[in-house]
Amino acid sequence: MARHGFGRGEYKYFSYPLPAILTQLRHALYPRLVPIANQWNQQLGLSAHYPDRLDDFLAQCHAAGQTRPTPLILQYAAGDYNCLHQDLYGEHVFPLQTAILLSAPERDFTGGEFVMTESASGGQQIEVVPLQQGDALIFTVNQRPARGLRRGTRKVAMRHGVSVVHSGRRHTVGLIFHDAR
Amino acid sequence: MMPAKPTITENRMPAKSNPMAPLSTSSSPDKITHAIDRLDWTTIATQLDREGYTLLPGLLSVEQTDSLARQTADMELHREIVTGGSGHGERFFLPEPLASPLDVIQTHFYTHLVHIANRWNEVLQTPYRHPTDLAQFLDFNRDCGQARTLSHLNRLGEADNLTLQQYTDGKQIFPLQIIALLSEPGSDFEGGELVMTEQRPRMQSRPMVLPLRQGDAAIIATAQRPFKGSKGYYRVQTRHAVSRVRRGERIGLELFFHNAP
Repeated sequence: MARHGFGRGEYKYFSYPLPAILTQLRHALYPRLVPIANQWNQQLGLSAHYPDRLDDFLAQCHAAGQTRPTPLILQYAAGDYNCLHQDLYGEHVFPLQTAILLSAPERDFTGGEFVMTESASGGQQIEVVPLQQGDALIFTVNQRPARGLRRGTRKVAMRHGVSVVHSGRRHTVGLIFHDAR
Repeated sequence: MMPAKPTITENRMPAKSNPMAPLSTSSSPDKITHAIDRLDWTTIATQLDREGYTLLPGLLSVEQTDSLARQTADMELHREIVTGGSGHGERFFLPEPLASPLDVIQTHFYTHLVHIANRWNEVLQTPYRHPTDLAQFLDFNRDCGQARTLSHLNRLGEADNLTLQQYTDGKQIFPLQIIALLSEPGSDFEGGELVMTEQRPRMQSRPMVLPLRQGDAAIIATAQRPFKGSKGYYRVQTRHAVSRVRRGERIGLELFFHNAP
């Protein structure tokens, strides 16, 4: 991770076929998130419309050269962290993704908080998301609509990262719906 | 990598005291300066060089935090509503000269931190050196038109937050400041984490969550600090924020060594 300036830690992408539980989760979550994703695109004035089934969306990704699977497992040891970033891997972007915490805070590791930033109206707001072992989080990949300060809709840009792990080891699985070029 | 915790008091108060208790008189100025002198300043300097912050657990007693927090009800303080790009909440600017114990904490921490600040200027090849005495530095501030005190309390209610900030208006900027938490996480409020970001040239920002409990403080880089890379020192930008308060009320203290115009 350090090599790319993303932070410090180790990560590995799964290859197809994904472990059964990740395939099931990815296929079960996607159709529930599609209506939200399509509504967001409409509110943001984006023309992309996501198909109802994950396999159809992945076929679009693959046709555009985004053929490599993006679900990954990450390990952070003491001193490791992940800089604030967006998981974009090509023109096809599904605007929601999932992270699942596999380790128990306090027992397995300390520090290592999931941090998000939200840029809008000239300021950068911070969100620290409290997760326990086995908890999952659905979050914005890159941008989402929010209610405008006076009226209408404004665009909010978001990034996510992990604060430095003070001790122990922290494992997570990341489930991204678009594939990578 | 976990910062060791230099401790200023041997015993933490185990429970929240009676909020109507009289102001603490136990911490005389001599005791405070002695406690500050006894901190492990070598470790503090190393942690500030490496991470841009260091924790000071139990800097303030429960009596002191409660007494400071009560000042947010003082209508004489200059109250500012935080809105728009700065977040949502309230700030209460403290009048100069600061009241006890903040006056002693401010002047005495300065005598130690000025050496770190001047060493940072040295490695960043900035010719300016801060005077060793806070009163003189504040005189220089006034000469530059920086007469407004920046030290303040902030009060965040449910859904409030403070966005990433740098208090860097004016020419005279002291590169370190102190932040303290006056409420207890878990019982007084949930959420409201103190978060710093560090931006290095051509890199994405590194987020840091500073774990604070009531009475704990942190020394943090105000806006810029030197970072030792493979080709010598370069300048990184630091900012700090308070994440959204999910429940309850969070009262915090920001103590500065420089003034604003």
